[in-house]
Amino acid sequence: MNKGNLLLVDDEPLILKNLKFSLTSYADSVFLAADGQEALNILENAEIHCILCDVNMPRMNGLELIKKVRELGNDVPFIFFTGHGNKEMMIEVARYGAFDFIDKPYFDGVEEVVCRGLRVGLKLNAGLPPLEFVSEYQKLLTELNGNGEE
Amino acid sequence: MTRIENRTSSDLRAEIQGRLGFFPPFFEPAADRPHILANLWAQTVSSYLDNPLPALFKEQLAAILARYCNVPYCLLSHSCTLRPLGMGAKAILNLLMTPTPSIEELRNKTVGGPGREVQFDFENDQAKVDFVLACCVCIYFNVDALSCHEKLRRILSRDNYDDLIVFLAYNRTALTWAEAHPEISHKEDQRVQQNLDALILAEPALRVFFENYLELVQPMTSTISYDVEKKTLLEQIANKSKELKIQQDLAIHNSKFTLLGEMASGIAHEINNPLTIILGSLHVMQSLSKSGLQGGELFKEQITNIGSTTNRIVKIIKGLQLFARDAGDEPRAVASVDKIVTDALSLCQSRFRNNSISLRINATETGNLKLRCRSAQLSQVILSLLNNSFEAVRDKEQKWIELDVSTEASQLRIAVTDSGPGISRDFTTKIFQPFFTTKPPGKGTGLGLSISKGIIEEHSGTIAYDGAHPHTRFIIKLPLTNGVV
Repeated sequence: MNKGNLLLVDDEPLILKNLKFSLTSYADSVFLAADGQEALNILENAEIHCILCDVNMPRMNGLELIKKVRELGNDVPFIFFTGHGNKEMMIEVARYGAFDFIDKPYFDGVEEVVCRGLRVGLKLNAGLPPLEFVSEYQKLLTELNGNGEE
Repeated sequence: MTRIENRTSSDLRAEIQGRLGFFPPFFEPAADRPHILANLWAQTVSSYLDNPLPALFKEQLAAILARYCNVPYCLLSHSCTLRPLGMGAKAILNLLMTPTPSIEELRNKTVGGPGREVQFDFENDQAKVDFVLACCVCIYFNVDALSCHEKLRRILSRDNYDDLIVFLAYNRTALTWAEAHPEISHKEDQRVQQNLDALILAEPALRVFFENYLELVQPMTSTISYDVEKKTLLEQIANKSKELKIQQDLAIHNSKFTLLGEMASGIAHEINNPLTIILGSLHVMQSLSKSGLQGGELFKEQITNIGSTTNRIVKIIKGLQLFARDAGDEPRAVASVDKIVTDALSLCQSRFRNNSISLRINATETGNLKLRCRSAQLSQVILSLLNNSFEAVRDKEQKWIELDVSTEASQLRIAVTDSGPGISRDFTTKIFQPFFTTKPPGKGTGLGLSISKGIIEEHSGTIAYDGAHPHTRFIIKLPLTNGVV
């Protein structure tokens, strides 16, 4: 089965390396970018099905990247991986349809959320298994959508 | 008709501003009546400004007499004028606390002088200057005045004496005028605006004095014993300044926390990223050991990564100790320039990187130099300058900050430059004043630069804004003469 292509964006090389190691088996290809600008260059040349992205980065940060990507008409699922999570930021990224939000420094749930993100990016929403790991962001989205009943 | 009578209020205002650089609030009650304004101004020019007595002496006498005026304007403006004339805050407080002379004491005291034809030496004979000041107070209160005149004639030249009498008369006019116009506000006076905060920061007891001088200084109506008066005056001031010292320490303490607060999110990021690496490495190692690969190269690499990344956190924690310690109480110790710079940078580097501010550091040649200093304080000064630069350029198109450390004629020179266009001329004279800030309320305490200045001056160095540079630049110079290893 097609697993999809994953793009990892973080300005810390060792974080990229560890993420790549942990996630390689869940994707067809894993692409690496050190900031938003590099990520945009990759998106121009490759079909990406999910992006796992830091927020604070030089040149172009994660928020600028999601805005730019949406402007380009690309609705690829974005998962933010950051230690700067707060409600305001989650609400802001929700406006751009971010898929999920995982708090650094923990890796808990990263694999599960990335797998779901890749499935959604491949338009394979149907048949997704029920969530095991429920992030603060998912709880917030449920709250914003009125107790989950969309 | 004389020329004076023809001048309008605005002519006079322009003339006063031209001569003094500002229009003192002192003249404000007469501002719309040219004949009164012209009179006051003419007396000010001839008896005060153009009076050939030395400026420092004139201001000292004016300040001493102004203590007896119910309206604080003259006391504040003359005391503040003493600062640009070279008198420190403590010396000013000492002068103002000079007890009102007692008649008995003065009656028995005479001072020999050079005679009527020799100019009096105001600069090198403080005991005689004090005696002259005491005589002037007696003449001002008309207590034993004739004998005081006689004593002054004995030690002052004819010119000095008459200049002094004219100046005394002017003071009586000025103080009476001020008392008649209690609305004259010292807060509007440029001399007060430019000096008062700095004086009070340097000597908090001055504030106590200014707020309570009417109770503290006894007018010369009785024969209160000199010693008793001085003792109670000192006690009262000591008590009140103790309270103020506590408040001031608190302000300095709070300013450190404001800086810390401004940097908190950057520091959190700085620690969170290495933690992510460590937890990520553990995650990888768990997977490897599940697959029986714990002896492999990748596994060893992760161990190395965890070690070096932990050291990153250790450096940041050390940097944070800049804030935890009461650095002012630390004894001076030998520290390398490299350590001073690195400690400061450990707390702000990733914040610069995340805001795409390029930080250029040029400190390789000086890294091994060592200074005897309180290194935590010096790091704090550098950090505070870097933080100011950060705030100034973060939203600019062009954003860079440069830290340049070099030596220059047996001095260590630390320059912090940023891509900002420099500081407006309106502000350059005020930036080192305590509590001056251009940041919005709640953002800055306005103490950063004034505290930095205090720290650098305590290390016998200087800190200055370089107005000649096209960008915003501050330069710290520290002597390398003593204690360099």
